[in-house]
Amino acid sequence: MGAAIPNGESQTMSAKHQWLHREIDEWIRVGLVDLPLAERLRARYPTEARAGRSLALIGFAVLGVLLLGGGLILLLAHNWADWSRPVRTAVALAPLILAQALALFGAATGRSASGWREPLGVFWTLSIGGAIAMVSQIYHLAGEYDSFMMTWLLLALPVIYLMRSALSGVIYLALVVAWASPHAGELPRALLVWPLALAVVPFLVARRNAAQTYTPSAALLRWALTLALGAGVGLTLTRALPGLWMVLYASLFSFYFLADGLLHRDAPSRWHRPMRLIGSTGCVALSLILTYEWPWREIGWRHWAESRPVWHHLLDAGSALALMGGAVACGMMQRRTLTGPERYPAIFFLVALAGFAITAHGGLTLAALVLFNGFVFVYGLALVLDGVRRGALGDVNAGLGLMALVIVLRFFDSGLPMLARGLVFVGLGAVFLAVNVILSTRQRRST
Amino acid sequence: MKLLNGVLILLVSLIQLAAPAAMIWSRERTLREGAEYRFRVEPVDPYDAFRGRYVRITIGAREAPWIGEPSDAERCFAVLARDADGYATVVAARATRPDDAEDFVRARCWRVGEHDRVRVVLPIERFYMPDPEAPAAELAYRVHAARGAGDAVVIARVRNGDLVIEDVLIEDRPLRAYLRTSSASNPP
Repeated sequence: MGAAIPNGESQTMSAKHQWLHREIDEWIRVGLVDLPLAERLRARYPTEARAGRSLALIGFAVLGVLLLGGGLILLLAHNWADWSRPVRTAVALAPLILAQALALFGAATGRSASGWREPLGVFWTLSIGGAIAMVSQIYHLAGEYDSFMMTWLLLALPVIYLMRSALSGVIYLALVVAWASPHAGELPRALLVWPLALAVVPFLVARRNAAQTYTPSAALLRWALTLALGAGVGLTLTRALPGLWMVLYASLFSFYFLADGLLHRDAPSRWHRPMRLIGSTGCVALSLILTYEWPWREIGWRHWAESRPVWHHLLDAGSALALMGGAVACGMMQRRTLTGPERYPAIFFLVALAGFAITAHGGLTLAALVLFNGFVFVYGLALVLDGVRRGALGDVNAGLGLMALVIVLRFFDSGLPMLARGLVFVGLGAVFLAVNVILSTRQRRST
Repeated sequence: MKLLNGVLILLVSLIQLAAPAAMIWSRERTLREGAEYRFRVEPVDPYDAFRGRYVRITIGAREAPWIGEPSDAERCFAVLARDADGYATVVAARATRPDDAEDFVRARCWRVGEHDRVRVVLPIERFYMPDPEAPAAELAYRVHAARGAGDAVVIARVRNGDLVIEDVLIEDRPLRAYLRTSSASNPP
């Protein structure tokens, strides 16, 4: 959304990185830096093109490994039924043993390029699951999805660190969510999703000290972790107190947005800031949902689930308090640097808390609806004004889009005749076009 | 650093191989040394995305008397014996491991009405076959059942709580052999 890095600034940053890369080439030529240092500097300040090329190379290598492995499996499957059990068992374990042997070979020969580590990490991770699945098939073992997934992900976790493979981490997090999904709401078992998902955090923390923070694969891992933790909130929600979910998710999105400001403010592009994107987008999406009446029905203490154990209530409340506390702490540390529209995702959790309190205790649903409709509209207006001030057309359009969306949604809610709705839509479209024309003309004149 | 990394990779590799190796070792011992039991089944044909085509074996839940203190735990031990026709039957279920003189299988149990009876579900669910043959297995069974001779049997080995399926028989012939002869004598 518009509160993220404006288009103008990211373009300037990319131009600066390109200048630096040209300087690095000159420094190598005159002997000012050596090649390893030059590579670390280039990785630390990637240009969009270089980052894209690097990701493409890794992606093709991974695709090659997957196609090779898949083709081998198909070739083997052709004669599978005619082989004895020992032969089938050996074939089932072969990919895993091969991956392990290649990892040992890489360690012995000092291979450390990402083009080696990432595809091998992916192959190794997938071969673990393949070996367990194929052995289960050979011995006709009864299906136990839970134990199969848990065994796979626990054995795959060390691969992330041994191969320093972020893509292995992405697969690992997918396995964690896949394992946890059937256990949604089943406590205490579902709570395991937290230590399992957070097990990749040390890997990311270690990357912050190297020149590997903003590589494409590290960005993918941050995306996967951000999404997995968000899924974890939903999977471990007990729903003992109806309506508390809105405060929990609002706090999560605000915390994401604010924590990103502390951790990744110097990231080279929006792609490297999933917490900010998911946080701001989540705030908008949840705000729009809360402009409807249905989420506000039957919430609060009068409807709490008495049959649930007390610790379920404490767990939900504790989670909400922890996330709110985290958001407050991160917000206080950035209170002087948060500007304009950035304040809206930052305070979103307070707005959600106010709406919940108004409705849960007072039953004033209408007040909550007015609150959120007003919040979204004013957020959109702030984006427009800020975008006009900085000449950022993208932010202006985002703000106008948000305001228009609220108006359109309310119109669909209302019983107004089609003519009235049509006139309003025409008016909104005209405003959009007029603002865009004016700003584009102003930008052309200033360049 | 290289040496440390290599040692760690070796250690993790051994642990990763230990998981399937333990599965293989336990099941191989059961197949070599376990007691043979025959279970009446009704094959159906679904698909397991992870492990390929299999014939779902439905032998049905069996009721059995519960021995020992009442328990709400789902996991239990099912004691097996052979009925007058030589087929496997569950003669009792208990929460604690029986002594080695009895053949028993790790199973799941649910109380049925009174505390002293439970419904027992044995770990016999699927028989993996090559993809093209699994649908044919179901079709062959239905054709066979339509002739009024619908008994199919699972041969399994039982040892120390483990149960490993050896084969599925139709008309006393292994399923794959039955499919070959039935397709030869009844071409499409």
